[in-house]
Amino acid sequence: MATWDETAKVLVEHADADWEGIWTLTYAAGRATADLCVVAPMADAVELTYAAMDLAEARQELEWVRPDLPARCPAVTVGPHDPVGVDAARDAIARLITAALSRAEVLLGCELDLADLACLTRTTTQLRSARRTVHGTAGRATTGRGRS
Amino acid sequence: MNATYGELLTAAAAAVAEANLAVGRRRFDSPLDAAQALVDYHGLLDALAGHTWVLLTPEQAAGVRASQGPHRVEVAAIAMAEAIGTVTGTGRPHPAMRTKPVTSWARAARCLRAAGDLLATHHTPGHGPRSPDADVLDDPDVRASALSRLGHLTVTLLDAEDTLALRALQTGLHPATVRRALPGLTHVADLARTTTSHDATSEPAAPGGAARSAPDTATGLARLDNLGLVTPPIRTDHPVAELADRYARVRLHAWRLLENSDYSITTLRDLAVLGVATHAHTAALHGADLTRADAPNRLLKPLLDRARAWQELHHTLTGLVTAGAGDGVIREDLIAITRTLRTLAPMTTTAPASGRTAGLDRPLAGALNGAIATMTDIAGWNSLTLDRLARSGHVHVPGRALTGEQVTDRPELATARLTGHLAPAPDETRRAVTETYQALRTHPFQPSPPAHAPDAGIVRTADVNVIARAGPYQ
Repeated sequence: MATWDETAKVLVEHADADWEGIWTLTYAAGRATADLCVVAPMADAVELTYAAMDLAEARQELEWVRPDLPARCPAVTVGPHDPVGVDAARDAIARLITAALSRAEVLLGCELDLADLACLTRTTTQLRSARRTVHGTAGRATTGRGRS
Repeated sequence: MNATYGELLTAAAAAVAEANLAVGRRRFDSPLDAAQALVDYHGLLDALAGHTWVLLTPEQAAGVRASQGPHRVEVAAIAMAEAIGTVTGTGRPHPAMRTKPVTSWARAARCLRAAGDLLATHHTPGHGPRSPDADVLDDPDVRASALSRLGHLTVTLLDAEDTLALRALQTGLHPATVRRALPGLTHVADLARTTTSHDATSEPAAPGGAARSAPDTATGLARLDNLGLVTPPIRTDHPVAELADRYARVRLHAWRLLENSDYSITTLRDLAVLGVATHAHTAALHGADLTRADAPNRLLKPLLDRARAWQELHHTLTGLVTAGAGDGVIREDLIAITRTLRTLAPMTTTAPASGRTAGLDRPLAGALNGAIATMTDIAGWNSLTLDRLARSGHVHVPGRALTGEQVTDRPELATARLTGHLAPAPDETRRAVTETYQALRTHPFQPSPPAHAPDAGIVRTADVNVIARAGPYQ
């Protein structure tokens, strides 16, 4: 069975630099974070729950301007929990989030209307917040709008 | 400050005691002062009668009058209020309410009227519920205890009648005036004493009903006393007060979802995050070492088990999709609460093996204890909210997330899996979520009821009252 890191690499490699790609990467990161919450020690789990919340909100921001995304995009997960360890899992999630962020930055360089621009701004904020939490130290990480 | 019902009643009682003491110790300075005192004394009597009709609605009073075996406290309270009404008159507003309160009796009357108004905010004009606490006076024992307390206040007030009459006469007021104001209210005092005779432990059980224990009544009375306004402002002058206010607002909004659903799984997911944070930070406050998988001691294990259950719930809800955008107020409160919890009850402090060494922050512990009770209530309501959403076809999952087992014998799910479109949430997912909610709807430090529930584990009998109170939403 492929590890989370391997699956994440494949996803990052194949996800397009468009709305669909960002949604797929965000979805996968969100599900992986939610999966990791359940097995991580409680101190980490609470922080990761906040990150999962941010990722869910980022996905919702995308769906707000592109309501058809959940129906069109492949809802791919990274599979069952990787028993290698929490740190490796965090790295895999961070890889997915970073890839989503880089695609959002690429998209920001395209011609967009104001609604899309606002959506990408909010999505980027949530993704950055989630990445900070995933990489943060338990109990000291910051997450979410207005948390920092 | 956000006053509670209990605080207002306590303030009223203190003001009555103060006024009684003052009138016994010294004469009035002038006939004008005496006249004002007589007016305020009547105003307080009128407020006491008025508050009786707040605790006992006209419909309930009609039921008591028609009943073959009425509660004697309620009968006495009705008689007391009616007797006071014949003395104070029916003119509205009462003359004592036209001026700012000067005497302590007037201040007591204002507190009592404010307490009645506070209770009224929990109901709609048609006496429907506006908050999850609107049913607090539906319990006859709690109602009788509240009426009994009113009786005590009336007895205390009427103790000062003779002294007040003497002081009024000493100022030179006409005896007929004093006699008209204070005609001898012994009969009212007798009725008030009967009203005070309520004792929860000695009351026989209602016909066909189970006997209530004294702790249950005390719990109900405490709930009544802690009742504040339905929508109090959030106090930001102290973090613990802010925490309590935000939890109260989240509780109200979660309850309102029963009647006015926002068709959003996001709200339920946010509440699950709050459940995780509340239980984990409470355990941390009490000295749990959350960096280890095993609980540090068995006393804190229920809290960590709850946190894990909320976590499982959040995990399952993450896979569900609905159309609604979520409740912004709940999200705002969630962010503010988690930020406060991280400051006041951080999880990174490594607790010593023997447990907590620093002194426990009692107000914070109290607020978090209340928060756990709040999350227990919310679990029950969210269970119903999700059940309704799922049954009305509003909850979906991405087709590709379905397993082979789930799509077996379900052609529409198999198609969704192949095409990647959204599909209705499978029954087993709904059942798993509902079962977790059912486990969370009992307080972690109370024994759980037997887990023999009908379909999807919902405790239907317990839900009947909630549904009935929540209104006609279907």
